[in-house]
Amino acid sequence: MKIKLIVLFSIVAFVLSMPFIFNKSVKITDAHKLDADNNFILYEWVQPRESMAPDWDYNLKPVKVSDRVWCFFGALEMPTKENAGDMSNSCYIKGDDSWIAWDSGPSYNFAQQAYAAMSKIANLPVKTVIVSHEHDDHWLGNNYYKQVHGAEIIGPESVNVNYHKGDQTRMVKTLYQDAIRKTELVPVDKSFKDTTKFTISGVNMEYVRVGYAHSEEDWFLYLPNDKVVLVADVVMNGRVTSNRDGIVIGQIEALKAIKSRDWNHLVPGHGFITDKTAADESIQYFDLTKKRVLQAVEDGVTADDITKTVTLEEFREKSLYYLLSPQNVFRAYEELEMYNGDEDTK
Amino acid sequence: MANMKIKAKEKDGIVGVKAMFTSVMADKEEAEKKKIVSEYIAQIIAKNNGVVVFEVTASGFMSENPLFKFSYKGKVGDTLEITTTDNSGKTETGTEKVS
Repeated sequence: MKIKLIVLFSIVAFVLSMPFIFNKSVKITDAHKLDADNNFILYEWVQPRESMAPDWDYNLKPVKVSDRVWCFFGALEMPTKENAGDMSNSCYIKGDDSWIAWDSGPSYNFAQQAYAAMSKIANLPVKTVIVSHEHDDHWLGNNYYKQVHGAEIIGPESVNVNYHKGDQTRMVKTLYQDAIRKTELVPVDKSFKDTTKFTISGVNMEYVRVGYAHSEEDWFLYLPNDKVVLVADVVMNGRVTSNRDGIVIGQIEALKAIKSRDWNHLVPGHGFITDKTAADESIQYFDLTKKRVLQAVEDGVTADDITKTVTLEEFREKSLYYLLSPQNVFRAYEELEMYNGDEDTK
Repeated sequence: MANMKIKAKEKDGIVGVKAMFTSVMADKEEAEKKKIVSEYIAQIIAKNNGVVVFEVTASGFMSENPLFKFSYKGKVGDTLEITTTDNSGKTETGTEKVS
C-alpha cells in the first residue's frame, strides 16, 4: 500500500511539472541566436574592438651605468600582460649631438616612454638604433625611432629574413593592446657581415658578431673608451637563460669573446648585475651544462632521461629555473649527442 | 650529402654505434614543394673489419640529418666503416675505431 502511494504521488508530481519541463511558451524571435541544432548560442563571437584605455604606463626609470650609458632594466620574467613585455634590458648611449639606442624594447609605447625619460637627461634626438639579435623583446620599439626620429636601424640581417610587416610575434600575441598598440615590425636598414668598428656622434664603438649563440645571429656592442660592453642575451644573470633558439657551444664561444675585451661594466640582456662579475653566472651555466650533458651522453643516458639526470642544482634559486632549465638541458642534449670537439672552432 | 659523425663504443662485448648523416632527406614530393633538388640517403651499410653488421634501405620518410643507433658484437680496436649511398648514386664513407 505504501509503495503504491509513493508511485501515485510521483506520477501526479510529474504530470504537474510537465508545463515547466516542456515549456513551449518561449518564442524564438531571433532565429540567428540558435545554432544548427536549435540550441541557444550563449557566447557569441563579437567584432574585435580598439581599446579605448590610455597607453600602458611602463613607469620607466633609467639607471646610469657609466658616464655616457643609461639603461632600463626589465623584470626577471617571461613576457606577460602584467609586465607588458618590460622584461629585457635596453640602453641609451649619449653622443655629442644625438642618443644612440641599444635595443629598443618590446613595443612602440616602451620606446616612446624610454625616450621621454631620457630626454629629461639630455634633449637630443635618437639618430641610430643598434639591435643585438632578433628576439622581439629587444627591437619592437624600432618603429617609434624610425617614424618619430627618422633613426637609422643597424642590426642583424636575420631580423629582415625572419620577420615581416604584419607578423604576429610572441609579444604582439601576448601583450594588452594598451601596451602593443602602434607597434609595427620595421626592417633593419643596415647590416654587417662581420665585426665592425665605427664612430657615431663622437662615440667609438665595436659592433662584434658572435654568430650563432643565443639566437641565429647575435651581436654585442663594445665601447672601448668607456670600457662598457652591452651584450644583450648572450649574458643573463639573476635568472636562467632561455636557450630555445641557441646553442651551448656558440654561447661559450661568445662568452669568451666578451671576456677578451677590457671592460668595467657589462649590461646583460636580462638581469641587474653590471659589474665585473656580470657574466659569471652565464659562464658557469653553460660550462656546467656542456660538461654534465657530455658526461650523461658518455654514460649512455637517453633523451628521455636527460632532464632527470642533468638538473643544474646550482641555479635552482634563480628566476625561471623550473620553466627554462629542463628545456635548455634537453636542447643541449640534442646538440651535444654527437659532439666530438670540432664544433668548438668556428 | 656532406660529412657524417660516428661514435662507436664497446661495452661487455657489444659495440653501441651512433651515426649522424648530413642530408636534407627530401624525396621527390618534398623537393617539389620546397623547390629544391630531390636528395636523400637511399642505403646505409656498416662494416666491422670488413664484415657487414648493419644494412638499411632508407628514403625521404626520415628526418633531415638523420641520427642512427645500432649495436653489434665487437671489440675495442675494431674498425667500423659506414657507407651511405644517396638517390643519385653518390657514396660517402666514414670510419671510426671502436673505443
